[in-house]
Formats: sequence, structure tokens, C-alpha cells
Amino acid sequence: MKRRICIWFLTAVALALALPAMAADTKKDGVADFDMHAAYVRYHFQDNDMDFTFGSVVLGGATNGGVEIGEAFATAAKIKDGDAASWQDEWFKMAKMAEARGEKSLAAGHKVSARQQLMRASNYYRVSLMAMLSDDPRLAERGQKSRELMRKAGKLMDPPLEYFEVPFEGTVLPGFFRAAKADGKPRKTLLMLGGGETFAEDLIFYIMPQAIERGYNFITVDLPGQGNMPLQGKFFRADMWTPVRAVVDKVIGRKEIDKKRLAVFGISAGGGFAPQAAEHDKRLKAVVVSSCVADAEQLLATWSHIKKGTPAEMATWSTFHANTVKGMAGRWNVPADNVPGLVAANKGFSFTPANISAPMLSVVGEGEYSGAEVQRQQKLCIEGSAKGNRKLVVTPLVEGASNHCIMENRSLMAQEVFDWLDKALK
Amino acid sequence: MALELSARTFHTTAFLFVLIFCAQASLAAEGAVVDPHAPHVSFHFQDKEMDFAFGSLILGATSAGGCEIGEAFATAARIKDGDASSWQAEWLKMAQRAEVRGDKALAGSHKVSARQQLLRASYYYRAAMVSMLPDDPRLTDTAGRSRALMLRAGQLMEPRIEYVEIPLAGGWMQGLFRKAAKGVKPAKTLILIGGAETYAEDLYFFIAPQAFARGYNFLTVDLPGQGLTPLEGKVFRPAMDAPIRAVLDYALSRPDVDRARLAVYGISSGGGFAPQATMDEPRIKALVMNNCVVDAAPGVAKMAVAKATPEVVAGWTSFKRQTNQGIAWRFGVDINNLPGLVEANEGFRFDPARVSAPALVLVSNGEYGNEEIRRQTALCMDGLASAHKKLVVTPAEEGASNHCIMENRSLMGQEVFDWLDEVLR
Repeated sequence: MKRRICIWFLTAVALALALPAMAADTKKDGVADFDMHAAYVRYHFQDNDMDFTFGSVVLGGATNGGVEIGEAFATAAKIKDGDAASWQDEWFKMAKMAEARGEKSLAAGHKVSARQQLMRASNYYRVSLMAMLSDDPRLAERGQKSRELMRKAGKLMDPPLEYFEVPFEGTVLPGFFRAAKADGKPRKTLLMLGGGETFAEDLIFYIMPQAIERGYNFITVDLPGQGNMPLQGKFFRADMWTPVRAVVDKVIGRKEIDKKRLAVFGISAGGGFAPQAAEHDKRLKAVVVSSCVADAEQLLATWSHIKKGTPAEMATWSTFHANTVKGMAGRWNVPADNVPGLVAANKGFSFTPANISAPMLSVVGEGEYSGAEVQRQQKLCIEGSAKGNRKLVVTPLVEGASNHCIMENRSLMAQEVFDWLDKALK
Repeated sequence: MALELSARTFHTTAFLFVLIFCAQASLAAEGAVVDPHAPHVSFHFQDKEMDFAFGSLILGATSAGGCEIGEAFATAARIKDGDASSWQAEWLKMAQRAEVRGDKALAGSHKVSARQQLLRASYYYRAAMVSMLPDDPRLTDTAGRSRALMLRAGQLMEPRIEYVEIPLAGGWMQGLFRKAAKGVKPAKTLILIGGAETYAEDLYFFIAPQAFARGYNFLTVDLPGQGLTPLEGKVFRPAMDAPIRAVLDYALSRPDVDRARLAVYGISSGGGFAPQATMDEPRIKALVMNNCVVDAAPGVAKMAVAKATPEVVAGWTSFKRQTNQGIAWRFGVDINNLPGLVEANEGFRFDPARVSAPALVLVSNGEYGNEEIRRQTALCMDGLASAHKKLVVTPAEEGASNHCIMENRSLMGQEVFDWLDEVLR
């Protein structure tokens, strides 16, 4: 009886809470207003930004070994909705537990078990960095920890995941390479580029297993602005093609890479970096984007969270949301109290679609595609070809493939990407 | 704006208060009642039975390729909480969509893409069958599609999944076998025994990819009572050891199975079936139970079904009612007589003193909080004749608290295989 009263009361209160929130969501997600982190399906949290991160970035990695369901929900159950510090603390605790499991298996020589738990531990340390401000000392410490564990897990793979560094303007860009097979034969290769908020590890969990299984070598890096590069004074810049070219210079000589079949795939802001790199580097033989960013400044100008992100406005946001946006600004060397400055900081983050001769695929989640500016930019990219070798795929909401970069359905995303690449790189 | 905020704050506070109150109420109840489907962490639905199926059975299969996050949540968003027909209809729709994708990839010769989508399609058809009643005209067709898709996907693996039929008492048991590697070199072998609600497909997604990654052959079957076998009049019987011994005969007839390194692992009710088959059975070299069911009837007597009179059942959601009715059907019990499940489980027991194979007992922390589970675990651990035996209680704080630890298969796999690796050296 007690339980039944509880259920009724909970339902009533939940409805009272949810209805105004849902109404507000509908208004906010209107076509004119671009929200990169809009969650088109609710996962767990009422805070939209936290729910997006939990559902798409974290849970979405389950397919590729980044997270276990039970661990994710046990962690989520302890997190205070919308609270950045609580998120960071709870994921850090889970990271330590997974790490201890991995080390225990490794000590006893159980390599498969060790690899699996260490990979998740690496990801959980990484996830604990979400919504962390640029000057937080834990950023360097935990970023390092996440990378060490990935490298440790990488040694337990066959072929191993190799860590490498690309000398670049007085520092190095850290990266990972994994061959599809150990035989050293030249094969198709995917160079994976992240966006405005990624670490190289994210990209491993985004798509590496899918690439390897299909016989593609996999490469990813932290470009300036990504990972912990801002701690070394390396921020996002309008000529992102320059560091990408340095990466290609570094790896192109490897015997495992078939020079005729090197593809680049960029997600999020990387949807601008990848085609820009291909515009300047004809060694990139195919380009995939999710989605295409022909001009980042114009796209960001429609993102209301950035336009309105004054300190007074952000003080009314959840700490998770506000700090996520501030953290991103830091990657462009924009001060946290001048988030609207991100728009101007993206001036020149563009490319000329007509200059790209390689075939190009843009994959966009239906939810994201509902934004007018996103649609306009896809049109610019796809129609700006003289050769007719470009394709746009909008992945359906009804198949759970609607969010930013389709992170919540990586099997479906990979099907679209690789089935297209298989033909483009024949 | 300020007014709206304060109203929200008030609601939130009230909500949290009631949440704490209810959590305490349900915790108090959990100590005495055995509820294998109790979700110790909330995933999506308010209906606990549905939330367990969604979180542990379906979402839990993601790391094994049985589910994609976006697809699962897009489906869940359309399901009416607690409603069986809505659950079935939405999973059927998602299954069809994944199947279309798989077929499209296959037509374009994209084998990896095809395999992945077909595997999920197989499991979404299986998901649709949870809470489907025995006389539902869609049941046979849906199960057939699920299995056919699993086998089609299995053709795209290297080595392939083999469909096997194992003779038993004039009939056949259907199963799946996959070799650890190409060739006939004898390898370690894991035979997975399911429980009162499983199909062979559930067992594939429970652990098969983990077995392959570690160099184990994998074999599972629908025992009498499992899968669609009740449609042929085959229901669970107290002597589950006979069909399992037939599975052993089959396994040991294969040249790729290493006779010295054969393990049997039983989950849910299979935690009683597997040790029953291991009594006085020297061919089983290692036994894993998740968890150990020494005597099923006293456990069932403490479940909600024991007191589920028609009046009580009328207060259940259709999802909970039909899920439990499906279990009754598998034991040959009238679906309108759920308390009959207690009597039907009489004799489903084994004598731990007659089990001497090395044994591992896994229990999730959530289940271990129950008195009856603790009692049976103690009976098991104290009674096993095994020189080598080990009990592992997996921690709630690591998200390993539900029935069979289905929601954390990587952690479960670690415990099982790290132990097996040492026992089957």
C-alpha cells in the first residue's frame, strides 16, 4: 500500500516537473535556434547538457568498449542533476574502481579482461573532465591518467594501439595509430578528427573498433585546441589544415598505409577541419563529415547559448552547462567571461567547397538537421561540387540516430560511413 | 521567471523527499521477498519489471552487440510504461528497421555492417517477445525471425556460428555453437545454461563475444522449457541434468572441443540446472553458477508469484502479469495460477556434496541482500565437495547489482573468465 501511494505521488510530481520542462524544451529546440547539445531523446538527467553528455558521449560509447551499462547508471544515480562538481567526482570514483579491476587482471596475466577494464577506466577518467574549467589543475592530471591507461590497454591489443607524437611548432601533437592487421600490408586508412571538445581517446571510442573490423587502419590525434593542447598554449586556429598536414606528413610513409586510400573523417567542429584539410592536401582521398561546417562563425552565430552567454546569464545556468560552454571558449583562447566572443574567434574557420576534388559524404542526425543553419551549411557543402561526387545522409530519429555526430548510435553511423567509404576508396 | 523557479524548487524538494521515502520502503521489502527482476538501479521505466527488462536484458547487451543506445532509448521513449502490447509493438518496429538496414548492407556486400545490424535485429525481435503470451499468434513467427537473423549474422562471422541440433528423447534441442578459432585444434569450451525465461539468443549476447575474445569455444541450447520448446509440450522438469548431459555428449563428440578443459556455466534457474548436471559427472572440469540455486522451490515460495492470486495479479501492470504468466507456461503451470509455480518447482534441486568439480559462485550484491539467496549461497558454498571453490559478490557501486549481473557483462566476464583461465590451465 505504501508503495502504491509512492508510485502515484511520484508520478504526479514527476508530471508536474516534466510538463513545464517539456514545453520549454519544445520552444528552445525551435528550428531557428541551434543547440549542438540538444538531446532529442531523454536518457537520465533533466539538465539538457548533462543528459546529452551522458546519453550520447558516455552511453553511446558502450558499443565500442568505452562504458558498461551498469557502471554508467550506477554513476548517474549518484550525480546531482546539472552539477558539474558532482559529475566530476562520481566519474572519477568509477574510473578508479575500473582501473583497480584492470590492474588486478593484468597482474594475473588475464590480458583480455585487463584490456577491457583499462579501456573503460581510461574513458571514465576522460568523462570526469567534462565541464571542467580551463584553469582546473585536475585537467592535466586526469587527462594524463586517461591517456596512460589507454596506452596500457593499447599494448594488450593485437595489433597494438601505438602512441605517437607529431612535432609541431615547438611542441608535439599526441596521437594514436592502429593497424587493421599485423601483417604490415598497405591498407585503407581512416584519419579521424575530433571537434571543439574532444580528446583523442573520444575518437577511439567513437569509431576505432568499427574501422579495424572493416580492415581500415585507424589514426587520430589531438589537434591544437583539443585534448590538453590548450595547456601548452595551442588553441584552435583558422588554419586547422596546417596541423592536419603535419600529421599526414608524419604517418604517410608507414608501410601499412595505402596512399591511394587515405580518408579523413571529421566530427563536430571537425566537420570543418576535415574538408579544409582536404582542400589543402590532395593526399586525403575521401572526406566524411558529421556534419559539414562550411563556415563555423556563421554556424556559431545561431547558437543561442553562445550569443547569450554573458556572465549574468550563465549565472542562471546549471554549473554543468555553464562550465561546458566556458571550457569550450578556453579552447579558442576566449576568456570564460566572454563566451559570446567565441563567434568572432571562429572567423575564418571555413573552406571553399568548390576547391575539394575528393568525394565527400556528410552524415547528419535528423535532430541536428532540423536546424535551418545546419541545413544551409550542408547545402553549401554538397552543392558546391562540380563533379557530383558528394552525398548527404540524414539519419532518422526513429532509429535513435538524431543527436550531434550520431554519437548515440555508432553502429548505424559506421554503417553509413564505411559502406560509403568502401565504394569511394575502391 | 522567479516564481517558476521557486515552484520548481519546491517540486524538486518534495519529489526528492518522496523518492527517499519510497526507496526506504522498497529496501525494507527487498530483504524478505525474492525478486529476481528487482532493478537495483533505475534505467528508464517506473514499472520495475519493465525497467529490469529494458536495463539489464536489453541495454546490458550493448557491449555484446545486441543493442545500440540510440535505438533502445528511441524505442523506450515510445513505450507506454508498464504496457505489454506497447512494448511488443515498439520493439517489433525497431527490429524491422534494423533488419532492413542489415539487408541493405548485405545487398551491397558490406559484411561487417550487415552482421552488426542483423545481430541487433535478431535481438530486438527477441526483446519484443518479453511479455508476449504463449497463445499470441505472433510468438512463433517472432522467435523464428530472431533465430533466423542470428544464424544469418552468424554466417558473416569468422568462424561462423553453427546451428546445432542435439538429440534428446526422440526429439531435438536447438542450439548455437561457435568455435574459438578456425581449424580443429581442441580449445577450451564454455557451455552456457540459461534459466526460466531464456532463449539461446539471450545467452549468446550474455557472454559469447567475451568467450571468443578469450579463445573459448561457445555452446548454448534451448533446454526443454526454454525458447519455444513449451509449444511442443516440453516444459521444465526436475531432472534438468538429462538434457544437459546430452549437450555434453554432443560437445565431447567434436574434435575442436578440448575434453580436459570443458566448463559449464548456469545463470538464473540455470544456477540450479548446471550443478545438477555436474553431480557425479567427471566430464565437467569447471562449474560456474550465477547464482547457486540449491533448491528452487523455497526460493520461488518467497517470490511475489507465490501470493499472486487473481486479485493480486489484477493490480499488476500488463507487462508484469504477462511476463510472469510466460514463466508459468514454461513450467507447465496454468497461466492463471501463478502460485502453482511453487509446487511446480518442487524437486528442482541438487546435492552440493555430489559436486566435486572446481566451482565458482557469482552473486550480485543486489541479490545477495536477500535472506533466501544468502541461505542458498551458504548451503552451496558449505556443501560443495569441490576442493577448489570460490564465492564472488559483485558490488552495487560498480553497477553490478542486478540478477545475473546482466547490466555489467564486462565485469561479469572478467570474474568468470579470469577464474576459468586459472582452473582450466
